[in-house]
Amino acid sequence: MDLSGYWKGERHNRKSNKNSFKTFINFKKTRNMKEYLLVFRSAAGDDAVRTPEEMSKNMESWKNWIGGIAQQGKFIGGQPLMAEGRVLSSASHITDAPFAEGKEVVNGYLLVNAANYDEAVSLSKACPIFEDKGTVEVCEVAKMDM
Amino acid sequence: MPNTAHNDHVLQTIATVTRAESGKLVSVLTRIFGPHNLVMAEDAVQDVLLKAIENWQEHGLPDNPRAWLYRATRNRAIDIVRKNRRQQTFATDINTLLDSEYTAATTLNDCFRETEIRDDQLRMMFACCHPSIGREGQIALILKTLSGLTVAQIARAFIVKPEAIEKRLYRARLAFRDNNATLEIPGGTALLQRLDNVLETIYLLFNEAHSTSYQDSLTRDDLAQDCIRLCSLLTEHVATSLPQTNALLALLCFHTARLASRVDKQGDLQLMQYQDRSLWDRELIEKGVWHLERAATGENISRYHIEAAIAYEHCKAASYEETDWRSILYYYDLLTRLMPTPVVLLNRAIAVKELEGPQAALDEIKKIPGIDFLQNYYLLHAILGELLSQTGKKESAISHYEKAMQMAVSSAERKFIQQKLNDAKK
Repeated sequence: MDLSGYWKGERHNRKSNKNSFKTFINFKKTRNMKEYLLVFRSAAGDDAVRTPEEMSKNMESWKNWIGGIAQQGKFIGGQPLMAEGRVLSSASHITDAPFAEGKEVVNGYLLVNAANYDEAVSLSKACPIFEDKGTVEVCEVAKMDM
Repeated sequence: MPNTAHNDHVLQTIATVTRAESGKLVSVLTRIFGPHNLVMAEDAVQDVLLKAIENWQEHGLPDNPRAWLYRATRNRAIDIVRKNRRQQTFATDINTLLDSEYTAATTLNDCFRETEIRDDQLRMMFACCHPSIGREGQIALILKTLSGLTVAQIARAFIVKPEAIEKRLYRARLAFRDNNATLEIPGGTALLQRLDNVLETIYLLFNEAHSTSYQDSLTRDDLAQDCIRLCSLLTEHVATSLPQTNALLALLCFHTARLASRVDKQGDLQLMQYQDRSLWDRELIEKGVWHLERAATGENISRYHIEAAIAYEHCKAASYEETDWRSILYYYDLLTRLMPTPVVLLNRAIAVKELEGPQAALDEIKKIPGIDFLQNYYLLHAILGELLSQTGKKESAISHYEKAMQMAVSSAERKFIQQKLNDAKK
């Protein structure tokens, strides 16, 4: 997260810079937090049956959910993923997806800040993946200190 | 192969749509990319406009050129965001959302909503008028970014070389980038201060456009309309639609309504007493009255209030003879109390002349403190020449007309004074 803008904003106009100020305060609170990966899975080939209206409604839900997390300063990053992929079970054994219709596939991830599992799970409760009967897997990022 | 007439039509439409929309597009993109990326926003809009020209000349005009431009700009924006988001930060409040594909497209779409576009232009106006940017820079930047004028057009408007405008813009962009952390309408006490600054810039820009030094009457009308458009935006927003904003807009409307009659068919300047009042834009005068009424609240009377009231007295009079000079003199007295500058007092003297004759006006002018500051102002000498010739002092009148001649900037002004000079010599 880039905060240079916040400091510049404060110098000139702290009051009217409510949004970045709020994000900044929330970001400060996250300093002692842990990082969690949220992995989304749903049945392959689900997108194809959506109408454009349903598509845009769905995108809107994702934006609102992630926007809410971002406003609390807890959003680190994340991307949706295409349904197809490649699976390597060894360096020489590579399977081309598309995966079989109906099979659960990873279709996106999010990296967030949270105090503990309880909070990470509670952030995940509003995830739009449930509209698609998908699942969220929440994992804490491991610190590989020696 | 498109024929030439068709091509002309396409080019004309492109010119019109481009002038009308480019300021909005630059504002929206600056809001998205952040003020530190102003140049990126300007370049992106330039790309889109070039693409539009190419595409429309080849395939003909789209049904809705405006919608076409917005779609193309939005697509260009998402390309730029995707290409640069790892190396670059955009507007601080949406930067994280632009980072993720989950949220980038919807966030961008929200930025292209009609109300957002309108507010972005206001935010852009405040950013361009940041006090750290010099006055000339503010004006050049507004014309370049919000009015969609080219450097060559701005240079022509201010009768300077394009390189001088480039230099002004360069410095202004640096200050713009360094002093605007986000694109926003200031809140609280900062709003009033910054709004004053914005209003003053629009006022000066208008004066510049309105000045008779202007060679190019087409640009002059355009610039006047731009000032009205920018000021109208301010009156449409609840935070900025204050009495002084409405007063300024009224003033702009009254002056612009009379533009058409200021020069006659030969392109010669016309004094107000000889102007064809049927050419005045009644609709614009009505708009002015509407805003003047809205300005009449609150406790403070600004210079815009008083100047609008004076301009309205002129618009209201059916003929020059029916002008209510007593009211005008009263307003000038108010204005003198607010800002006793030599120019205001000189204008006041003209009202005195209409009420008490040329000798009284001459006496008033003699009494103006600091009148020496106006020695290089061609209008002072033109007025003195007129007053002196009316009181029978032919020799002095001629000498003042000759001084005015030397100081006049435009050929229209010189022609006007030459005429006076010839009359005086008769």
